[in-house]
Amino acid sequence: MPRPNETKVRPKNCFFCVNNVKEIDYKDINTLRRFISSYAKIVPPKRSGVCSSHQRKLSQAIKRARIMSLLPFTNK
Amino acid sequence: MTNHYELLYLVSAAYPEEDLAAIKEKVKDLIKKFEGQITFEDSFGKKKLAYPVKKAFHGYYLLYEFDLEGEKLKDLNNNLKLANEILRHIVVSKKPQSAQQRAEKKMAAKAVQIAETQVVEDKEKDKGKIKLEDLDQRLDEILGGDII
Repeated sequence: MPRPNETKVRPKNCFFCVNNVKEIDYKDINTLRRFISSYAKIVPPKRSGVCSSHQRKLSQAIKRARIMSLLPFTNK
Repeated sequence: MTNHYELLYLVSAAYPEEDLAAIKEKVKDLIKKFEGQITFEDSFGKKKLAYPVKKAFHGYYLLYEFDLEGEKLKDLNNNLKLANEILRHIVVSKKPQSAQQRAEKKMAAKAVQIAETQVVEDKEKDKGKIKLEDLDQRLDEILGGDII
């Protein structure tokens, strides 16, 4: 017997959707800091819960901040 | 066609703060040379860099917003690259904002921050309570054990 498909309704937990942020600013380091790991890698959306459209904007912002030496490329 | 851009550039902290005005003026002239119109000016002050750039560990972050023709952006970028004082720069297209919108955005960002710190504080308070109770229990256990 195939299992019935269970549809889980998950709460919306994208940080930017919840706070109604439309554009992510690359200069806002305190916000970006939450989305990089201890090795300064960009945290995958699966772990941070950021929706895909915001994840795209977020990764762009983090990369810009890295170029401007606002965020590290890597931590040893 | 003119577009709205934002320029953020990094000046080494090896320059004293008195020299900053001259460097600012230089960048301003450069933007004006390409018929750009400056609409907003800002500075984030002296900051520690995330990694050393050309052996500089600290730098000043300065910001300009301006309207410029799209075709001239490439030339402006090349000129900024050639400026020795500027360690790094980035030009990003941006939606034009009025002063009021800017203030509103700042307020909204602050509200988010305050809400978050409150959540953290509440959590810490809860932690403190639990710890105190635990401590009492443990103390009782230890003391009781010793007496017996």
